[in-house]
Amino acid sequence: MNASIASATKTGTQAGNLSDAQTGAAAIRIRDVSMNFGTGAARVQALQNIGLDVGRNEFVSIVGRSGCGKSTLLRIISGLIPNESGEIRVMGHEIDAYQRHRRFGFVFQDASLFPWKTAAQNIALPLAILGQGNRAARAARVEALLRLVQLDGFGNHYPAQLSGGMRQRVSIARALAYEPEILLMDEPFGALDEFTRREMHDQLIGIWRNKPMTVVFVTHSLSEALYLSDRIVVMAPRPGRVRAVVDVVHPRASDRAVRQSPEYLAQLNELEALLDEA
Amino acid sequence: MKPDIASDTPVAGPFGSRLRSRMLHKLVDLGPALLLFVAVGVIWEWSVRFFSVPQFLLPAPSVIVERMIRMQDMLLQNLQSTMTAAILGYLLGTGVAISLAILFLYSRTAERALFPWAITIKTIPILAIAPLLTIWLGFGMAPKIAIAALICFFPTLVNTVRGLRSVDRQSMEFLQVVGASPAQTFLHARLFAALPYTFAAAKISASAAVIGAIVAEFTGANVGIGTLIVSAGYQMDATMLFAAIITSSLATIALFYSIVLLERLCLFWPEARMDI
Amino acid sequence: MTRTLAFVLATTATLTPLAAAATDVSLRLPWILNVQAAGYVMALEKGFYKEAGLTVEIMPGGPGMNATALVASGANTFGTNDVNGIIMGANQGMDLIMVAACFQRHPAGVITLADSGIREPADLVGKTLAYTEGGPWTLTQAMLSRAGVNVADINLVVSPSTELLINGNVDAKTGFTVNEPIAVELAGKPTHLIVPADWGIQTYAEVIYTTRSFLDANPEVVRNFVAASIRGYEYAYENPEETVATVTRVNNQLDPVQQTEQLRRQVDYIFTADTEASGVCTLDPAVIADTMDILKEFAGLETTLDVADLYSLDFLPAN
Repeated sequence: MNASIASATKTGTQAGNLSDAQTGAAAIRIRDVSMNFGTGAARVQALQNIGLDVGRNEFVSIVGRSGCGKSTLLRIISGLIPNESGEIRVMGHEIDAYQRHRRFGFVFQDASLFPWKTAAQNIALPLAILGQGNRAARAARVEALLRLVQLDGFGNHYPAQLSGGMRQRVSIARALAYEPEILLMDEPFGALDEFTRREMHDQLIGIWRNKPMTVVFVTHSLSEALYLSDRIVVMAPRPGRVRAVVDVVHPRASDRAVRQSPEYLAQLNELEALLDEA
Repeated sequence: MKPDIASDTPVAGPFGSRLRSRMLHKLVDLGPALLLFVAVGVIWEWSVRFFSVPQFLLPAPSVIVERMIRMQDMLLQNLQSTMTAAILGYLLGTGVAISLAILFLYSRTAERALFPWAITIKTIPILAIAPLLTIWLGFGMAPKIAIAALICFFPTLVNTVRGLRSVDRQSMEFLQVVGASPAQTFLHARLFAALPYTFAAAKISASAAVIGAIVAEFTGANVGIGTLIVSAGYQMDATMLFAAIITSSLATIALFYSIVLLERLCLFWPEARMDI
Repeated sequence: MTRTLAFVLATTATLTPLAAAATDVSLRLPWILNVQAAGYVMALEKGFYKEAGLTVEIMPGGPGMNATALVASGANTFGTNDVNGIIMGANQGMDLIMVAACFQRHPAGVITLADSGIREPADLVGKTLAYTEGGPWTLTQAMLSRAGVNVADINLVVSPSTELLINGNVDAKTGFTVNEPIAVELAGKPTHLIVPADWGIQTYAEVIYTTRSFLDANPEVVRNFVAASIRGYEYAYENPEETVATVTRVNNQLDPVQQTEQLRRQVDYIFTADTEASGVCTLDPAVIADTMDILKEFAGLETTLDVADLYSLDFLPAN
């Protein structure tokens, strides 16, 4: 294996941890988190002793086969599922405390927009719920967000009148409406076709570069993870655990030549091997 | 900046033209129904004459229409009583059902305690308890309204409960992530999710409410379509019977379509209507 | 030997067609089968119809069933009903004709609790009376009118319920005085009856009727049916226990105690001075004419019918 790649790969429970110097600045710090579902004979250990750090404004992907617990982990981070054991710190706070002054952005696998609200109304909804700004301020913010996801002019369309890709962009705009520090994305582009997905990658990167934030991106697509992320967390199922963490050698390599370089392809192969081993 | 057409083609045009073509469709839909209606009327009329069917068995449409025109004042007067009771009962039954559905949403205990009662009410044969209700509630409008309400109640309750809980899981998770209160969740999500279900039940209940009022009138009223039916039975007047029934049917159809219109107003987003 | 054989053969040959010639007819009752139909049930049970060469099927009526229309349409041969029903039906174009009147008086009237103090029509003024559209109400109105009582002076409510009377929600109710009061008395409350038949309102509660077309085509059948039914009536009221046992066997939803009492009360409505003189089930045209007048005055009947077309006296047994 290529030496530089080998050094970039850390395995086991230490894998996700940043260096001690960086830990203090961690956006998300997960220590020893486990989660079990069901009782008795049907008891399933969805997560086993997960340890992971995510740095501020870092783009981290979590990949793994079905059943490895990646979606569960995302929901634990966002507080949708309370963690049974272990410790999670977000920006240094407990999740409940953190959410009291700042909320996560969350983009779901299905856009999950409300069909009875227009795109603009869907985007404005979090602002209405959080009580941020007055009518005019919200309208301006919605306009800005529509421009950001390249949907200006489509604000008064209902979700049923938009394509899958457009709906997902509205969903992203909605998640960004209240300017979250941390954006969690659960296989957001899984339902889209190849070309739309590539478009979305570039749009997402554009947005992230424009306004840096911590992103935790769950996907089952290795190439997607490799393209977008700074680091990739590889998870394995039964029980769900961190198999390895890989520093991406060339994150967000837009140059096609780079994406076809031996280094890049070697990292892709290594990741595939890690996934297979699980 | 315009979106790339190749990758993002909208599914359908702007909302306005979709509504217009929908209305044209409805008119075209009505055509065959009207034709069939006229055809049935003609066959009926002809058969009665050709086979010399006695009037007390099956009156011809022409005879019925003549009677309806001649007795229109009496028919309308009785109809008004029946429809008033039916609509009031309908509003009462629907209102209670929706309120209970919302209560069940926020209290599982209430649901576990009250739902079996709702089922029990549903299973009681209306014709059997109609006379009892007259005893308990007195004479006049009250028992008619009560029976109409009882008939409407259960379908609306079941449907509304289902509708309120039909918000998909990821939408609920979204609301949780942004910290929506139960009231906000209700206002932005559950209310709209429930509307199609509630309207589906409401459309069915409308005609049931009218029938309920008529049944109540069989045993405890001196005005109303039900009393006309009883009177027609006593006088063996089949023409009057048909006239009364057709009058109430027409009014029920009008009621049904008013609800459809209201539904159209309330379910303003695309693909909202569960078209019957 | 041959002569005996020939005789036997000849007799069999003539007798067999007679036996096979028993006519199939049906009788539609106006309500569910109970002791009101005692005469017909016993005529069937004791073989009187069979002896008259008739195979009779007795079919009950019930709520929602229009027995008169069934006979008028030919679906049933004979029916029994009160004169009101026949006149109303004839007015709607039904081709009906009455041939016998077995209930000489009508038991419909006003039922009140004995302790209410209401004894005669005039006592109803200012009281609450429950009624439903139908024969009893028409006759009650006639009775009130003949007694000089204004209906507007009575508080009227519409309800068929006997509970209202038992609970005291109403002071009186219209109904059939041979059966409804029994339920009230079984609930422990003695009743008092105000019967229009006692107040000069004369109508038949039950006549035997058929269609004129059937009668013209089968006069003998009609005659035989009437005669056998009269035999059934005489037998039934001479043997009340056997009658109640038979009726409750045929319809096992009936209460034998109530049916015995009802049968007893019915006697006064069937056996009167007129039947003493002219025979059971005799028919007096004046009564039918009176009934039509009552219907015109109190039930809104508008008709050009001639009473004479509605009955025939030719099918009663010669006395």
